[in-house]
Amino acid sequence: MKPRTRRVLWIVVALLALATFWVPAARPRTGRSSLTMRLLGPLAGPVAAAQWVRVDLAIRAGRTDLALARAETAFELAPTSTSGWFFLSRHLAFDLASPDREPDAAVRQRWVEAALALAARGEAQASDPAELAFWQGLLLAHTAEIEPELARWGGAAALWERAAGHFERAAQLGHPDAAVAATSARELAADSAR
Amino acid sequence: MNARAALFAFRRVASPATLALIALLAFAAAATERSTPPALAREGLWNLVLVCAVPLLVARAAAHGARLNTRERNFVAASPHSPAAWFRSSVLGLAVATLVTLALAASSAEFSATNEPARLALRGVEPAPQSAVLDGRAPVRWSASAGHGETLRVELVFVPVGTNATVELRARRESKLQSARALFNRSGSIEVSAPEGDGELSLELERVEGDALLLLVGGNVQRFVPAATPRLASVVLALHAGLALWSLLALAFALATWMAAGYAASLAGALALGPWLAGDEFASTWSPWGQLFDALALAGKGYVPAEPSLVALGVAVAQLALAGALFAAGIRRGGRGA
Repeated sequence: MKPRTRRVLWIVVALLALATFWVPAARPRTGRSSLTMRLLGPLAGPVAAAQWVRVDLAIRAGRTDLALARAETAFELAPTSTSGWFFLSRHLAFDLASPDREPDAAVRQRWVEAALALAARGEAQASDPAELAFWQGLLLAHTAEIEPELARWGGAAALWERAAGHFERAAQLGHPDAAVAATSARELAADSAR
Repeated sequence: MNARAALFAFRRVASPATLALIALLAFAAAATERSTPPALAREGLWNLVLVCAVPLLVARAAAHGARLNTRERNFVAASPHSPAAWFRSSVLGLAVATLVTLALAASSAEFSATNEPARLALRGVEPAPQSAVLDGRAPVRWSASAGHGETLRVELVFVPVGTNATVELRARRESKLQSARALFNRSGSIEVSAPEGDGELSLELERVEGDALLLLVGGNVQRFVPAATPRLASVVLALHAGLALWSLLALAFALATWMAAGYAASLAGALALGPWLAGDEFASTWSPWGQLFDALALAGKGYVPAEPSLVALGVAVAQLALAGALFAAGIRRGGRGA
């Protein structure tokens, strides 16, 4: 490359970089540095993906605290990543609320509630909310089927009713399998209530 | 020492145009960030300079190393200085380039961080229970050592169930008790002052109100002392960044005598970022880059980070020694493809 062309290219790069300082920043929910966020710009997605790798490593090491703290950064960087919301919610529901790991039903219920709350937060921000609404229905259906101690949730019928509500919302959002799932959940709720 | 080689390395890695570009970016950004909270402005400015300058300087250091071993090989061979002397001098030039870049980063960061209240400076960390859950059942108890006048801080991550929680942190020594309460509706931290006395300190963390769930992060409690000035944060960040950047530039420069400059820069970058990407928690204790990332995060939260550890200093020196050996062997072996 000729020195003059290179110099012109550097000036263009500098001007583009300077322009980013005056672009109105999307204020993140947690109020983190807007400059850092703007700086990441198009790299936010790949950096968030790298952060998800670190979340996974923390989960494998049994460090739920680190996994949740790292996931917060990943959500700040890429709040529309449906797979991120799904991944963490699944960890809370299937790993932390697993009967093999946690003998106390009340603690298991707490983690399932946390998984549902996280998925609900994701539904409000992710690019594919139907998938997360459907996942909330599936999680409640799964809990209704495998959890023997359902008293705190009002029994299996109440869980199937809640699952049906999530499936119906997923159907409205365009999930292809949600309408059928909602019908089945309503039937199972009625069966359980008898 | 070969002064011309040092100047040569400095001019090629941090040319006036490069430094002017970094300064222009940094001070333009600093001017727009003066209304943001000082700690966030400082973190943002440091991130900006590092993100913009590090790849550029590493690429230029690698290009310089590659040129010395290809087009300028005869010039180096004809010089009365040995390859080791060339390396020492070049690394001195790289150190000056690092210093000038970091001076730009620090001055732009401090230009943007104004009207800042007094700050606390990190003195050390003490172990705490890992992943302890605060669910209102039983308090989490452990012991730590901290002197009178020190402040203890624990970080908590908010699990998205429930609306909020009030947490109490109690520090007890003999009959003296200090406690602090904080309301959490998102992740955050709580601080308490260590009570008077010399004995062991008992710590107790409990959710006293609310329905939210919180987890103790990192398995440690941080010890802080009052900082003379909040601007010390930039001095400490410069120490971390200087150690990390200088050793990285030297490695890229030396690797380029064995491979194409692009590969050398990429490999050096991967070695620096590897511990962070691998999620290695121990990177915070041994890797200069791991320590730099932690220090940046802490500075962004409004604290003065701790200086680089001796282990990180040792790792950086070992990296410089490795780079020296690689450079000398690379020059002796001849140009790429020889």
